[in-house]
Amino acid sequence: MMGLIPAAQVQPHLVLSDFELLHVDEERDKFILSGCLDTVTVEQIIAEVGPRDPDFERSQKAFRLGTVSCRLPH
Amino acid sequence: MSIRFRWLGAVLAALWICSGAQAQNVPADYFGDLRLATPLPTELRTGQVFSLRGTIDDPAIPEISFVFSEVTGAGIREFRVAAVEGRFDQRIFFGHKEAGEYTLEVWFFPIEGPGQTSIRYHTIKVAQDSGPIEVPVAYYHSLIDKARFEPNAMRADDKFMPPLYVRTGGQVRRVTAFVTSAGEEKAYELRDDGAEGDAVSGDGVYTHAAIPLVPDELALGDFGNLRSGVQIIYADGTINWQVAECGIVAGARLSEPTRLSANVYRSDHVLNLVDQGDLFRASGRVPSGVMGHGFSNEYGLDFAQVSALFYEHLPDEFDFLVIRSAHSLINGVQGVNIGVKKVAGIGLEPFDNAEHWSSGGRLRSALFINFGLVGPLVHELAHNWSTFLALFNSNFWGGHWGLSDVGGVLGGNAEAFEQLEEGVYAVNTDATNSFWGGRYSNL
Repeated sequence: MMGLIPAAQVQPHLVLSDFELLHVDEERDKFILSGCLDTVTVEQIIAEVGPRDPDFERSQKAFRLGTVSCRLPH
Repeated sequence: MSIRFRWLGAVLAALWICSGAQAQNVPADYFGDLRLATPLPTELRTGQVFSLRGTIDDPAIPEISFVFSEVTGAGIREFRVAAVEGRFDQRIFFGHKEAGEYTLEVWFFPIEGPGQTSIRYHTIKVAQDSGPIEVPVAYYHSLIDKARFEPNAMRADDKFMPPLYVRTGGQVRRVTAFVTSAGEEKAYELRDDGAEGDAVSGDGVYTHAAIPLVPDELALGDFGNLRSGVQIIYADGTINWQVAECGIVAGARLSEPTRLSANVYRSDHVLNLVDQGDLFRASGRVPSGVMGHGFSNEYGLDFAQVSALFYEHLPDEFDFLVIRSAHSLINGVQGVNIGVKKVAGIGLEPFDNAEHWSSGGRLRSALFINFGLVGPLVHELAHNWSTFLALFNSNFWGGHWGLSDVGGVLGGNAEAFEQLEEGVYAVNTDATNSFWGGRYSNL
């Protein structure tokens, strides 16, 4: 998304959607959820939102921050 | 109808209008254990600053909250205030986009245990008005940290820490700060007697003007943070802990600030604005990025004025504008990123609002980070690109990765989806709220 590495280096990710919290397993510190577990690939993302523009080759990779400090008067 | 009855009707109508126009007040004892010294009118106007003063019967309750809930269910406005030995005084106001009808209830927060609520008062009407809103300084005091160094930075060769302030409530027996200096923890008692740096006696704000400190090497550069635990012991023996942080600037002297105008200073890297009451206000404008070219006032800081002042004195050579302050924004928001322009291919239509921020075109976003937060700068910066992807239910998760294994500073930190049965999974409970881990995702 930031354009720092090429899309080919992005691995697939798991996403739980349409979920519902069934209960909390406090002993194991886990949420127990029902839902639909999908694998999302970078190809699916590009198909949905289009390729990044500018792409990895042309994207800005160094950024500058300006800082403002706001305070009340003494 | 005869002329005589028409005349009588007009008089009755005028009397009805007059009686209807009389201001009604919320009964002073409506909220149980609380007494309002200044009656609260049931009809207010946006922009009108009103003082809620009074007492509560239980002096051991250090904090109360006035919660105005819109009758339509669209939102709430909460005003939380400390009560010092049973007394409280809080300014409230509604912004110009907050006209409507509200119910009001009061939450009482004891030192320990859950809060308790009063019965609700129906209905307080807030009529639309216009014009600037002058918010008293006291309004901010309910939003900022309870324990804080002010200023919250010192140089490594300073012999003393900056003054430490602790805002308490209830009946307090003693307030003590614990600071580790040269490898040894020492205790320092704070005072509320109007002496030795304490500004006002008996106002519930305890102070230590100069705690001695010899920073060890580990404190330097470690985000510059030194933490002091503050122990508040109440009259009934119960104890409350707060934490104050102080940044330590290693070695080099800071560049001397240059005064540019009455309220504006700059050093090599920072523009310092002194708020004269018009930077933080409910009518503060945000040149809106995502929502078009309009202005929003939802945060209570005049971002437009801040950025205009910035570019009046500094060149357009910054990608991000980081606005820092000891204040929180309205409703306690302590960190926010507002997009100014977006690239294509990240899930949003590209846009460019730089000109509305007084930037010649380089500015990507403006961030507000409260001084109380150190970690979220990278988190807020990352929001410039993520996440706007429907495949990850981004709208539901407020721009975070949610229940996924994407990982990184925007959440999505599910370590594993352990399948228990068809369509049922176990996930670590911090999967969606681990934002500051210093991890970065390839995505």
